[in-house]
Amino acid sequence: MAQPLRAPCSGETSPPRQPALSPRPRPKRLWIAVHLPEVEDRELVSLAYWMRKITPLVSLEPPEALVMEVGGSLKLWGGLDSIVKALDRELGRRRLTAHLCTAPTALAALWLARDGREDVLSAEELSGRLGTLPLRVTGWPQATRRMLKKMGLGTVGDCLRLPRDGLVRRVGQRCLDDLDQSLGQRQDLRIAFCPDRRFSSVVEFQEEVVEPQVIAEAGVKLILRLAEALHRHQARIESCRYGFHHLRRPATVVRIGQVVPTHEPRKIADLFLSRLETLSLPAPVTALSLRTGKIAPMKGLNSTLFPACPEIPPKTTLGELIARLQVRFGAEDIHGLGLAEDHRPEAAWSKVKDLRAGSVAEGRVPDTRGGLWAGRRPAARQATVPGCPQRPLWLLSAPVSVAAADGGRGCLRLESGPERIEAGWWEGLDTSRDYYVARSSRGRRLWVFRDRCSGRGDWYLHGIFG
Amino acid sequence: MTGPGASPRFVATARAQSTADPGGRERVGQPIDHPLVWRAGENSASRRTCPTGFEALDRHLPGGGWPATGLTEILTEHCGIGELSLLMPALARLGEGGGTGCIVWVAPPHIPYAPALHSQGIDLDRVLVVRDRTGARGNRDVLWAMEQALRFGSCAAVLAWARSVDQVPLRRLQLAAEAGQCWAVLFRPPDASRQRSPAVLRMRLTATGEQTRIEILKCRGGRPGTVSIRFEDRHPGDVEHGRRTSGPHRDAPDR
Repeated sequence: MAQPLRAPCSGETSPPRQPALSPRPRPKRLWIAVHLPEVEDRELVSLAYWMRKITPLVSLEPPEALVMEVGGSLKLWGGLDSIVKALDRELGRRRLTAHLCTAPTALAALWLARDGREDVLSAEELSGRLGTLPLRVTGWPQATRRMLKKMGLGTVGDCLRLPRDGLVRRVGQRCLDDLDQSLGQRQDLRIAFCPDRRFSSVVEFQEEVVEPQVIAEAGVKLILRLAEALHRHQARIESCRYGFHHLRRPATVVRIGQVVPTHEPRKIADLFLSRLETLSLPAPVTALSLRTGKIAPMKGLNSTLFPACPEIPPKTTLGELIARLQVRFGAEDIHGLGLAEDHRPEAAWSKVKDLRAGSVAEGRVPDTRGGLWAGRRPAARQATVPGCPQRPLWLLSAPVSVAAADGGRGCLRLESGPERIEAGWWEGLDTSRDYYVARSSRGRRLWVFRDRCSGRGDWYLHGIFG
Repeated sequence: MTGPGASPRFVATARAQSTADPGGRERVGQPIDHPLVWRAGENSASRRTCPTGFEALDRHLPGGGWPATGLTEILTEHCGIGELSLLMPALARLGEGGGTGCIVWVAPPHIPYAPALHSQGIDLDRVLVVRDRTGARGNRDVLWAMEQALRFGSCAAVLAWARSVDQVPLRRLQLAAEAGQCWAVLFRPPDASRQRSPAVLRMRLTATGEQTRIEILKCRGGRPGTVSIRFEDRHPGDVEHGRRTSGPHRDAPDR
């Protein structure tokens, strides 16, 4: 006998029973299938978009059909008749001929619609009405249907009458599942149609265009369309791809990334226009297209219950500034600075590329401790350890020969040194250098080294004390 | 005394205060520090300044330091004569006092070396470098980036290196720096001194022996003059936790 986990309070031996939830009446499932013979896929998708007005449960049945669940929408639309009427009107507007059929299960509706049958509204009638359907409505593979025909089975009803295990052995589990699902004896899990989360649009010009003004106008037009779509999806974009199409030539594609995802047409257009300023196109443009990359859902902003002081967001965020600079200079050339734990001068610093999303994305000026960059920052302050020799403020990207460095004139006077820095074999560079601080005849303070590895002991310039 | 920039309302309150309590005379002096008020004795509106960290230079500059908003031009023939060391104490101070905003380096001639900047007390998290890798970009791009950063509004300082700049872009930079409340430092070759400039401060650096001679060519609200500074080897003992603990270095003023 199971012991109750808690000591009974009122002498009962069983835990108090949960109050029974009163069952909410589940709406009866009702599916409408629309069979559109010889329709293009694009039209099918476009119709699916429209159907989402009626119900979110729309699913595409690739060869020429759609099904949607309307049981949950009956009350809203005031009955099945008005839904069907609205659907008929829409199909008429699109000049499509279609067979509509309503049934309690999706597959039954689809099969009936494919054969152009009458509606079936009650589950009891279902097996009788399905029984008379020919096997071609099921969409099973040709080979299966041919085999069943050879066995003398011409209708769905013939299959339903067969022993189940025998049928599975001959035609496979999938066909049996279909039969069960069509009768509502097995759950029919289907993938709801989801609107495309990308956006693409084109503006075509009447003739070949060279004026940047016209291209800019077309771009703004596209961006406004995009903004409308983003608004509809409550989403933001991270990047867009602009295609400048030419006559008899591959299109010029320009990708513009947004550091902070945005939905504001002003910000998107700002970057586009500044990119356009510096863009050189190989040929006149016949069309301009816009395609978005990933669409990110809009994120809400949390604020405190009692704000200490109302924060006034700056007009532009740091992310926007960086995005704008990146568009003009390229993402490679915009970076922050970080320290690295290494004794070799050229490896003791690092470029910091990734933005600290938190401080920037929220449109706030970064706080004192946060910083702009989420970079690798070793806690060790190696540069400030007492006794550590000084370092120049400028570092040359690669050491240059001293003879060529200072215009080749005058001589250097060594002020301090040497400081020996060597090794680096783990990166395949085994060096040994003696660093000195030197002053040139023109008064510049330079950081030079003598390469001990080369036999001649050449002098190189590696840094400048700015 | 209040200058013409003071509003009549302010004069009235100052007078009311001075009659209300006997010690009012001292208290009158306090509100006159308001940036929009300037005294008749001074020849310029008092500006927000940032101490340079070099006493001799501070004495020459109006307000005792770098102008914290506006364009500062530094003319040097080549780098390596202390043109960055001159700015370091002020740049370190910008980040130190709870100030927000980044320091943008536009088209620096070499790599700003992070360990050295860090040892000078500069918060590396605030540094944004806009590289001009090939040097092929024209001045137009450099000035454009500088103006964008200045107008952005929460940069503390923007340093840029340009070759030749015309009158109109300079004026734009000055206006952008004022609009963005930002310190713009433009490094230019010395032959630019022949050109007129709307900058708040212009100075030319030359190396004389071990010292650096700073000629103040133009200084709004101050007088031109010459200062010599020796950028000594900062002994690491002076530096602790990325901040200079000692005072300004020995510097010898000569006029």
